[in-house]
Amino acid sequence: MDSEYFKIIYKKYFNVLHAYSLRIVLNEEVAEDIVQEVFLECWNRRRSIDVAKSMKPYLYTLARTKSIDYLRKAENKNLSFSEVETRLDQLFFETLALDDPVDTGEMGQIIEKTILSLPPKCKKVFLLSRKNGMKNKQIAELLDLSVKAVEKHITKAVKQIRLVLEEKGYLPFFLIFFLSFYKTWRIFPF
Amino acid sequence: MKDIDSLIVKYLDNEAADEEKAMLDEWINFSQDNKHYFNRMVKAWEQSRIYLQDEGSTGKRFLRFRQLLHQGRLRRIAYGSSAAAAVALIVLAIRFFVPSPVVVLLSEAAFDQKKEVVMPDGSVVWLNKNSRIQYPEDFVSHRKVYLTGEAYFDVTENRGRPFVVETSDLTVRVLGTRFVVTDYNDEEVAEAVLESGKIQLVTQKTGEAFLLHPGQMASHNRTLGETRLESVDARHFTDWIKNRLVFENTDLKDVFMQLEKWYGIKIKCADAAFLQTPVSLTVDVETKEEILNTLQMVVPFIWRPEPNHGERSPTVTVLPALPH
Repeated sequence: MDSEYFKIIYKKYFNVLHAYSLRIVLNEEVAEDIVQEVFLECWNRRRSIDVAKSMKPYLYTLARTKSIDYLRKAENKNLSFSEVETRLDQLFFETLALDDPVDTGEMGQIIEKTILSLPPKCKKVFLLSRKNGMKNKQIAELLDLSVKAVEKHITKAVKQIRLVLEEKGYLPFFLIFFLSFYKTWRIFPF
Repeated sequence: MKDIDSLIVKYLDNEAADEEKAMLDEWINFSQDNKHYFNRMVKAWEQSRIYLQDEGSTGKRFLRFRQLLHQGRLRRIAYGSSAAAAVALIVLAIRFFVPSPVVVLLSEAAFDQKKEVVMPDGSVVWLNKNSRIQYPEDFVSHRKVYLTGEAYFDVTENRGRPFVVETSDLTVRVLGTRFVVTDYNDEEVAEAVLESGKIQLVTQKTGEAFLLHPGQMASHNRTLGETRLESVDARHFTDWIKNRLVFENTDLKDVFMQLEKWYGIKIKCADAAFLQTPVSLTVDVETKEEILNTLQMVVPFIWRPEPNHGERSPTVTVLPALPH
């Protein structure tokens, strides 16, 4: 893996890995440091990483392991993550860690187009949420809307993206699950 | 389904309450179809996070990542036992970025590739093809860089320690700014273009000093010993860093000049009138053959590669197809 490729992967996945880690550690800065560490580890192993295989499952698994590790080591917290992590959380993780469909560079354009076609208010709310990283409550206050209305707009936008990606064949009706990677990565101690 | 969508999205955005999570969990486990639907919503949600993210803030994080590689430590949190491992991998990484510790450190971009160098003070230097920089080992206390070729500098601000770029003909003194310096020894003109901030430029031989403002270019003619200041569109000079070249109504002469740097080639064309033809185009990842072929459709000319007799850069000759 060369540094150009590394940079592309970094820029693509940092944000979403950060969002994932944040759910577990509940602290922006800690989550950021954890994801930086994930990439440090990747960088260190770059020579042994096979570029032909997707790095995504690896990145998510590392982010999850490190976040849980952090919780375990954090003072005054004796609960293990398995007590907090529900069946739903596990399914969420497994879905995220699945490989993406091969992106020929079209995906970004499709999503951008979809966003542009949304009604103005919906578009505004969604961009504030995704680009500015604002919480629903903050957006509601800023735009003088109810939190319910903000939720409605965001739901509409995600749903629309899902529809368009399905139409373009990026989302097969059912995703193949529980591939061997999950077992492979279980060498990590969690 | 409507309420389910909103439940799913709330869960994904980590805004759902415990009862809502329980409801969603129940719904998902009701049928395989429900589960598959959830999977697809997760993917759509994830793609929106990836493609709509704020690139500026990710860029900043990447910069911090490179500083972490250099500093060899994470600033904010300690990881107990895993800290030792982190230090070990950082040491390895530093070896990769900085060559062995000799008095003068060298970074070089080969004739066919560009290179990005992060300096010990966090400043970033993008080296164009055929270019190299040298800097002292104690760079952090003496921010001085010797440049041959072309480089774009994004300098970390430090008022107490000016950042100095020296070439064979110019000295550029900086406080914290973004600019390009070009001084290939086999070219007649050495240039500095300022994108933002403020720089002072001194010519080595005559000792003349110039203060540059953003959007200004100083070009120094070696043979005549003359220096001129003019206003330019800095983007034309910094595009090579972004892996993209944009020309709008640019003279063919300037287009060829940029293509030469971009592809590490020499373009020979003797027809001065022809070189003034304005063209508009964008170069992304095309090969030099592809771009010359595209240009041919806009401006009629023929081109052929010259036989290479061991020159550093391959040469292409361009002949206008129509008489002027």
